[in-house]
Amino acid sequence: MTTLTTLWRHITEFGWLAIVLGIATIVAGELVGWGGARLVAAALVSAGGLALGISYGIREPGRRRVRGWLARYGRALVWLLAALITLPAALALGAAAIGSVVLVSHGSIDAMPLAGLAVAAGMLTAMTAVAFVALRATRAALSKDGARQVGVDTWERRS
Amino acid sequence: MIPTREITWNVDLIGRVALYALLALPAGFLAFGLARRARMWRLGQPDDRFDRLPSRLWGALVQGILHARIVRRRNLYGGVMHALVFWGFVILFIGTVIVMVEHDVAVPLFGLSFYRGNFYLGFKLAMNLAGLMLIAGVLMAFARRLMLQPATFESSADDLVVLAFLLVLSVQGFILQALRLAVERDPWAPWSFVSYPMSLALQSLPERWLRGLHLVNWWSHTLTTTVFLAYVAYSKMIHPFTGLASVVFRRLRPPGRLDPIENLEEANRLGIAGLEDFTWAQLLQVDACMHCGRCLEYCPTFRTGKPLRPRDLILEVAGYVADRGGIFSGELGQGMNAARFRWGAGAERELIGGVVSTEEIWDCTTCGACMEQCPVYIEHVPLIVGMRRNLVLERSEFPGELTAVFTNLERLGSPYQFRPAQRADWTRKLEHPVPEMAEVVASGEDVDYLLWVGCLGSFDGRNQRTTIALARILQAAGIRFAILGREETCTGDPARRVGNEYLAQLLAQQAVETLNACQVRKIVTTCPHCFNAIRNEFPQLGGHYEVVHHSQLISTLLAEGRIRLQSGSAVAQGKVTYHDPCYLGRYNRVFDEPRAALSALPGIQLAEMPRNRSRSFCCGGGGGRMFMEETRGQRINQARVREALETGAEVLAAACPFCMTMFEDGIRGAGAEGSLQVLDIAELVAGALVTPRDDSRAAAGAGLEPPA
Ligand code: SF4
Ligand code: SF4
Repeated sequence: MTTLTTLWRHITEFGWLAIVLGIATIVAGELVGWGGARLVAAALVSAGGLALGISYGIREPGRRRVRGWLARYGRALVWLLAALITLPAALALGAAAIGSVVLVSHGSIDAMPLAGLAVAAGMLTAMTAVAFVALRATRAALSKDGARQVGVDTWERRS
Repeated sequence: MIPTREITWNVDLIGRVALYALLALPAGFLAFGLARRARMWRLGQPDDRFDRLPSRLWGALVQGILHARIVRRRNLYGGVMHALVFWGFVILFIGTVIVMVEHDVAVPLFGLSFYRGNFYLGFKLAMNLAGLMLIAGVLMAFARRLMLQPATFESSADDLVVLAFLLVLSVQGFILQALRLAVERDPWAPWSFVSYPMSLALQSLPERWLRGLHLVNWWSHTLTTTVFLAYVAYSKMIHPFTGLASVVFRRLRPPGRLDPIENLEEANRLGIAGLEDFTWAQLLQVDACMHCGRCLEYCPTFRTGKPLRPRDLILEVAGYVADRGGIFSGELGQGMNAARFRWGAGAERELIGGVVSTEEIWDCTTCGACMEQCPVYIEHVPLIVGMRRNLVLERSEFPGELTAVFTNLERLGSPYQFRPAQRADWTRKLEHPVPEMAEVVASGEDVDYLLWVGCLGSFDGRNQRTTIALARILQAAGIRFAILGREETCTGDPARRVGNEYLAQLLAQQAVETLNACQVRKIVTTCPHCFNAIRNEFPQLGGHYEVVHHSQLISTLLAEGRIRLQSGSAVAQGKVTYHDPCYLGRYNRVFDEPRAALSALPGIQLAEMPRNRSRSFCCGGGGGRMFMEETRGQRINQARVREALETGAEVLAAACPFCMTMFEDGIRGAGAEGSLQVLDIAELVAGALVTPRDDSRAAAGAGLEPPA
């Protein structure tokens, strides 16, 4: 049991070390312009992430804290992510519309940019609609407060 | 100019560093989720699913990757939608890997660049097409969930969040491309046929704006990808991993074979009542359910409004094992999957009664329609029977009607209250005697077939008519056959399907001993349940026989010309519709022979019901349901009778004594006595049989000698 615990501790340490080394490698590589650093960094960082994921995943579940955290900050996190994920895209799609207006005002619009405007409008509508539906469903799911009620940490109590 | 583009165009140093540093997050989250799952699966009981690896992998390719079980004619919309999403995503993912190989491996390490010229143009075309496919698939999925809303559907927040992520990711990809094209004005831009028109609309804006917008969107896209990949293991998006694993480790044993409880006398726990009772493959399977609802499409209990809905049952169990097994799933709470918490919430809920209701457990007809449809090969029936086993063997909790059945099986070797001595009574109604196997063995003679009559075929007046008809056909064909008579017992099928494994093993063992003692090699039976037990379950006890269903033998006899049919049948003319019995069709793939026998009947026109062959709709009598009252929802047998009536047929052709009994009852219940009658294939064929008497009459009319 102790050997196993020690092994997992080493794996965790390796994980953190690999991530730090990976980041250092990519920073150095980009600064000196050595492209080979990218592969090394990607390999180190991914291996570090995998090692940490496995070593924490295989251990005793500690879901209470995560679930508590989710219950407290989940909604704010969802809204923040939704904004960061969709607003820049909406802005760019809106810019396509502005671009078309500019072309129209210069009298130089033809079929292709108009098609572009249609594509952008379609994408904006679709994205807004699905984001709205998903957010509404998530809000409803979170408001049921299930994260704290449903099956919380039975495993931990039993083990 | 050679067509190509600069990878990480317009991305600053911090962005380029972040691109690699952030890889730790999705890798870590994915590994965490999968490790947690693997840990949970390992809590399950052993189950050997590592045999025949090539078949397993081939199945995974055909079913999982090529979507053989997903794109089906009957569910084309859902199939095409999934194929669009899946292939769109896979192609885009491969595209990303190709770009990474160029940028991180080929160029820096080997000074070699392939991301240019015609390859680049083709790549752009493919990526634009894949992005469109993904968007189209996601929009179809949204339309299905929010507008079409088929009865088999239930949307959770997770389903919608995953779909939204996929759509946003592809939109962002097109935007980034359009912004770059607007600045760079590549002459080959039209190859990016979706982004190109947008880039033209954007071109009129100042370059500074375009670059700024590009950078902001690049960061947003990187964040979206990171969050999405990190979310995969805690959402429905885990199903490409778990689903594929479930297909690889699917059951390759015959679907009609239930695994016995080994060492029944010494087993500590009987059946499934908690996390530790599942096999690891069952834990993997319930975790792999993707809530698609395909298992509901032909489920008789769902279609008749009963509490048992196979998808919900799997989700309930999945929620339970996730809680007990310590995995993160459905973290957004109850609203994630309402189905999971249908019977209440709370960590301490017992599996049986608390998570899965006993109504669900007892409603199942074990028809297998759910397993036939499930794209990830989840096995609902063994799960349900596992819980029944626990209820019957450990808790002695079962529907009251089964008490008499168990007592009769124990005392009389049949679910009915008839003495074994009455088993051969039906033979008295035949013109020619039928020998018993014991006599045959004693006289040193041999027979072609043992006729396994079955309990209903022996004792039930209606089903005796089928047995008699078959005996007449066999006699007309000159087949030498015998019966076991009083030596015959139940195969144990009803006991096994209702969870009384102890009694089932006892009966099956007894039957195998009798058959072996009589040196039986070939068996013909009219009962698909007996057929399935003898074919698939008796080998577990050392009983190996060649068994055919009577519809198979009749169709062979007709094809070989060993029996002949006259033009006017004594029993039926016109339209006939055939009902595929679950244990003959779905479980044992006998679909064509019964139809061949019916099609050979002169004056008969075969009309198919919409739900036929592997998609047949159960009669409601399997899984021991024939012995239990049907108190919830509509009657399954009446639903099937109504479907038969809609074909305009006057005869419902059966090939199973259970179906026969259920339909006789269903026709009465539906008030269709005047318009529909149920007849077994054997009765229909026997009714048109050219008997030696007919031959002599015909010969006399023609002034000829009758054939010898
Ligand atoms: S076996 Fe038949 S009745 Fe039972 S859940 Fe599956 S489809 Fe429904
Ligand atoms: S059990 Fe299979 S068919 Fe049913 S919802 Fe789950 S994955 Fe779909």
